[in-house]
Amino acid sequence: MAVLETMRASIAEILTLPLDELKGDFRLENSDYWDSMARIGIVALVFESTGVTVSGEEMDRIVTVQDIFDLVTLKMKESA
Amino acid sequence: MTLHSLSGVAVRAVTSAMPERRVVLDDFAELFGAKEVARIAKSTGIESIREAGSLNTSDLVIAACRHLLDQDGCAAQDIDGLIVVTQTPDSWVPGVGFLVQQALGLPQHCLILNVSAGCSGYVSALVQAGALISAGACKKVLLCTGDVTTKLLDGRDRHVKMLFGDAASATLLEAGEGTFEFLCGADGSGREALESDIAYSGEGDSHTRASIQRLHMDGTAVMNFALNRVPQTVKALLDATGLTPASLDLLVLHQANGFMLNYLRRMIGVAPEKMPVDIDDVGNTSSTSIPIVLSRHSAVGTAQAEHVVLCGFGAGLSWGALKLDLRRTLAVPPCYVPEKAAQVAQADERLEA
Repeated sequence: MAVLETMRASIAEILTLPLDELKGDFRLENSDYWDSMARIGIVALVFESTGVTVSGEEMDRIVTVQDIFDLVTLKMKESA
Repeated sequence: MTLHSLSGVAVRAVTSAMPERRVVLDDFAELFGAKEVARIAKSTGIESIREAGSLNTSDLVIAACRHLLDQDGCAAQDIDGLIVVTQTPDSWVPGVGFLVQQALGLPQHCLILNVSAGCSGYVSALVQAGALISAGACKKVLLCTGDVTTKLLDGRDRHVKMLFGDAASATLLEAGEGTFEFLCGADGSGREALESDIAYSGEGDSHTRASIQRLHMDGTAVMNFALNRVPQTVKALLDATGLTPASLDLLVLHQANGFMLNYLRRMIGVAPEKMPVDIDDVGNTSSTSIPIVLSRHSAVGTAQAEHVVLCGFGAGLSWGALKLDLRRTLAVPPCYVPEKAAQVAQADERLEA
């Protein structure tokens, strides 16, 4: 999906990671930058892309980069 | 949300006051590391903040008021309404307003309101001040905001330490030809997103019976709130008043942080030059952030400030947007307040001179 591809660059920027290192199975806890600021960045990114908010509980369930993509896909379906 | 209006009111002058003490990137880098500090500053747009140190809220508020009255020429005796908005008062009882009244020499018949409100407080206090003037209850109202939020922060939390700053403002309102048009709202179910609890204690012989807890902020909840409420409220006010993002002159949002403001700007669809991000060198100053922008913006007091929209949002959760005309408003650039020891030294120097 084009939206997801566009989001990859933004997620890499939020995590301060090179784009080619941003794999689906990348565990966010392994990033020094997966903190409250990064979480807010993801919330904003999802809202801008889908118009739907992400709750704190949903953010707590995110473990990998793929989880972010899955969440966005779910939110896009919800907002469709 | 329902549009309300108050007529016959004008904002005559606005200014702000900041502590002289700055905390800059190098100071933060010593605490949290240069790389991390640079990353946070890039996102928030804040490279330095102002810290009150030995100053209290009243010191900053009084400095802002004196600065305003000096520059505007209004006599303290003519002020018959004083509103002080703060969430960091000097004392539990009485409110900061009474300290300000005494320090400025405001008349005894002056109505004094002490308001506990956060980042939406400037807009809601403008409504209060406007209502007093519009109803004929007061002729001249001095609206003050001020906080020393840095005293409530957890020093180990780099995100809040590099975000919040201390400052105060003073705004003079009087009868005039202007009209305030506004929308306000609140949702108490979100009050835990931004809170500083009081822990009461009924035990022991100590005089301490209560303590104020560290400021807690749920960043995800606050971001969701802002993304949902702010564009919606601003757009509703523009629609109701016949304005568009293109036709308004100036949109001043509460200066939460650069990251959030840039998102909100894109969602509202307003040009960057019409929506200032003016947060560096001071930090997020709660209810004072909007008047700081006004005191430093070149459009205020010119023909380019006819259609100005202010929007505050924050603790409560609460929000408010207000449209007003600032073409005839005197914008007085901020003054800077030295710490108390420095004030004494300066006074001694003046005496010696």
